[in-house]
Amino acid sequence: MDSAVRVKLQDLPRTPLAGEGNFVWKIPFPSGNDGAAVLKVYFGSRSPFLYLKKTLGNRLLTGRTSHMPRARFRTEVECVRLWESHGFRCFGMHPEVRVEGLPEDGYMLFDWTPGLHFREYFKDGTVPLEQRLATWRRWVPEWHRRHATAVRLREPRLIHENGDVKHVMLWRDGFVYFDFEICFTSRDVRDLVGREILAYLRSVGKFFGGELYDRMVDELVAHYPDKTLLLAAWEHAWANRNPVIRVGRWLDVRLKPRHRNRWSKYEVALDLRRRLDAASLT
Amino acid sequence: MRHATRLDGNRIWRVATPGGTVLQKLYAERGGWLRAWGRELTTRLFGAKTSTRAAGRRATEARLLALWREAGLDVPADLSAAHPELVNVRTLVLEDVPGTLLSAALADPALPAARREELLRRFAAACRRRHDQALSRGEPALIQEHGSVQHVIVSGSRLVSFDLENAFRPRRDLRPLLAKELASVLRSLARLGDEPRFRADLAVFVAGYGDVERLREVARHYLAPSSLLWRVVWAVDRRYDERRGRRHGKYRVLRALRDATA
Repeated sequence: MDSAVRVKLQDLPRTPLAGEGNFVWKIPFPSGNDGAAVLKVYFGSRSPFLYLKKTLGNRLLTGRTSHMPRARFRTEVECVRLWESHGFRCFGMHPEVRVEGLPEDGYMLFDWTPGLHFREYFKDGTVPLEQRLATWRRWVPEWHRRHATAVRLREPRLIHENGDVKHVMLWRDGFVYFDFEICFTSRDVRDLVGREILAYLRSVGKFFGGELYDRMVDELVAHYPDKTLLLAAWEHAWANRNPVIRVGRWLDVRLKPRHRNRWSKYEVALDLRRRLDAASLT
Repeated sequence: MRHATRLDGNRIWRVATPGGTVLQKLYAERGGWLRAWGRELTTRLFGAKTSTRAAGRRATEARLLALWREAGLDVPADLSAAHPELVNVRTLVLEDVPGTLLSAALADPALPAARREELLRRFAAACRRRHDQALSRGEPALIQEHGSVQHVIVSGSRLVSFDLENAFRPRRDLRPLLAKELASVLRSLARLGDEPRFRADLAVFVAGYGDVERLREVARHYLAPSSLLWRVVWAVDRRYDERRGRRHGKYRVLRALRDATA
């Protein structure tokens, strides 16, 4: 029996939400939160040539999944199901909704989730600092649980490829994650954990500034259980097990002036290592 | 930070878990790869000690913690099986033993003399019990490779030994190993104060140990070894101490032990 709900694209009043790339619209959805939902169309404004170029780069160089629209759709759907199966909340999906006028397997309707992005929440001066840090302390064990699960299962899809404070939300007293179109393919999940930690911390520094960064990283070191996974961030940048990558990074850090920036991955990795060394009893 | 690209030694972090605080110990290489391999090669050539590489030290510590516990000796519990989320091929999870280091307690001028003497006696008696087992079982792993009052935690009524990453390999005669451990322990004791203080501490240690004959034999074994090989080894040790200007060299502390047990 076909339980699909069919709507026509041209009948939908659409409010654009995303800046570039995909088409992401807020549309009316009577059973959704605030009577709305988000329609994400993976066939976006970019040219097919760009998709192809990015796909080649992803598959051949950087160890990521394809950038082609249907592949991104499949990756995102798989990741959301995987993350939710391990107890991490993501935007609810409505695959039963079919939109006429859009290519099959090229779009998905997600729950409208009016939560607070980490990016806004943590720099909101109206929320007391201690309350914000308490939220961070509450989030850190969940973050660790995901990393530990990914390492245990050798599951790169549990690593947030585009992970940063823009892609986590605080909603109904819990945390909601989004943006899973691309994920890593490497089975060296420990290294991917290190990479993700660096990406999050860099975004903490860039968006919230040095003072809050210091407090948040101190809290992270104090409350993140497996310190060796935190150390994986330093290993990712400075002590990669692959000698070719290590040499590449060595050249990278010396040749590009932007890597001397405080929020470059190399500087953040060293900063984290210093804090871990300071926390060590030896 | 001395080295941006290498850890250069272990790390131990205190981690809060629902069951209480534990220690996560990360075993890392000491020095660069050349030094680490050089040290390992030397160790293997002489065959006297277990591996000095990080993975080897982790394996040795796990084995020794189980062995010492099974022998009824007080060491931190290996909690790795209970904390799979903190364990990997480079780490162990150990009991977080609250307390102060024996070296710090003995160096504390506020510690009453009677309590100080009691601690030292208990420590010596614990060493004796362990040595008895090592000799009766012919088990060199029960002799602490890096014995020191800095490697004992005073935790209430417990004296907990730690740092068991390295061990001696099996051999027929364990007396030279006993001499090594006692020399190392006595040097750590000598560092706590001046000469008269050390002599007084040594007398308490000898009394607490309770087997003067064994201590005398151990000292004699070091100062006048029967085999040519040990004579050479000790001579190198002695020269090394003298060259580095060590006030508390093995030769000196074992001569003091010989005098104290004469």
